[in-house]
Amino acid sequence: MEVDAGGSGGEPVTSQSPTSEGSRLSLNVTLWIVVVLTGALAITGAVWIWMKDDPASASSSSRAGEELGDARVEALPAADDAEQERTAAVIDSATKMSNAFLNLDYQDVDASTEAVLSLATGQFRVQYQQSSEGLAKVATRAKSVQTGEVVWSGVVASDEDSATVIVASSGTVSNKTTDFKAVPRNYRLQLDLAFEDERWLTRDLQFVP
Amino acid sequence: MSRPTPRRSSSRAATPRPRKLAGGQPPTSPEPPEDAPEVDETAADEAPAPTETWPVEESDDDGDTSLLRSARVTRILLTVAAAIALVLIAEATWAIVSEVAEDDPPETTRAAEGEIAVPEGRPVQPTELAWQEGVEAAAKAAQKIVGRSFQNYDKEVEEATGLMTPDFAEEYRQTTTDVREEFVARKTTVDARVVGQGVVRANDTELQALLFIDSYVIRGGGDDPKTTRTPYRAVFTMINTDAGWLVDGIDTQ
Repeated sequence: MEVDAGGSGGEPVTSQSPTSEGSRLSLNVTLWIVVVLTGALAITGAVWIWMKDDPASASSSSRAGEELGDARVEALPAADDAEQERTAAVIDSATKMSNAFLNLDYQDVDASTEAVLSLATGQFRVQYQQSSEGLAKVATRAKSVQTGEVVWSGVVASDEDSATVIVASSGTVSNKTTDFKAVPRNYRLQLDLAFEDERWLTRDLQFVP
Repeated sequence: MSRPTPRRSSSRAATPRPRKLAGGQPPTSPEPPEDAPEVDETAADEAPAPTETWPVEESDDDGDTSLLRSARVTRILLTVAAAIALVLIAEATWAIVSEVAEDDPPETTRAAEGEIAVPEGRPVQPTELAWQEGVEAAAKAAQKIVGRSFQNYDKEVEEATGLMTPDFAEEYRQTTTDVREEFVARKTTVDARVVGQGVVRANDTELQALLFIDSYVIRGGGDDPKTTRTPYRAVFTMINTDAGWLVDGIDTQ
């Protein structure tokens, strides 16, 4: 059997009349148009999926363009994924540390101190560990119970391995001094964090008076 | 099965020679043109029919059209079309699955009262440079909005409203009007100092800045004023506009 040199083999060489050539031309032109149009559709779909699936570009407000009196709302440049994730991790870690630090029950001081130590590093960790025994004695003697909840955490500044966060908390404290009545205690804290072993840990914690 | 002949191998070889033979015009008769090269009769006997010998797709002068008449191009186009069809099916499937998944809790955190909306797990979306500007604007605005004196009360209130959105400015005017009489009567001056500032949440146009504010309230005036320091914290909602950052709300929870 003879084969068309341009084919893959196994196909008989056939005579093509002008009519069949015309049909082939029409078919190929049609296919070409179909390929171009569907290809464009596929590319558009891929871009749409990419935009929709990319959290960094996900717009949660889109007030851009809104008129506010004489002013018009403008969009801000979005940080890349790594920066957005880092900021989220920093806020999360500072919030956890603050909650651990502000909740203390004289009946289970160890649980509180362990929670703090697990999120601490550096000199702050050393100092807290050294004072934990004294803290337990004082809390037990005063029958102290302190509760606290983070209301807001705000990042002051951050880079790849350090960050500063301020935290506002609300809570109560009850002990002998308060006659064991829960008295409101709202705190302002500032935490310095360090990125160590793939975790954000607190290396300093200060009350802002 | 036919045996290969010199003519067959020659006419199908990947050389320009057959193309020259084809010329720019298909034959109108089964006879080859007069200027066609001579071939031996054996080869001529085994040669394909004229319509095969003068294939239009091998014409140099009509290359684009001949390419589109090729069976090989048909196969390539069909293969590409099939591949694109698969891609479109995959995209459609993704879109359907995505829509169904959005019936569950959405990725964007539903904004609680007083909170701006941000995607889940992404509390701060803009670049640090962008949100730092917004937070700094909040800190400066706080000093103007919180601080005022009985001597220039109306003027300072009006200046402060220039840093706000129209809606919040209206709310602020109402509040300051309510306390104006007592404020002036007691000769009160409030000085606000921001001792801490950071970003809590930020989306593509808005942010919320946590401010630690020390408010110094001075009452009485004259030689013996009494000063009271009140430390508190507030969240300023800021919105970015072509006229700068504007205060859109204040929460002092």
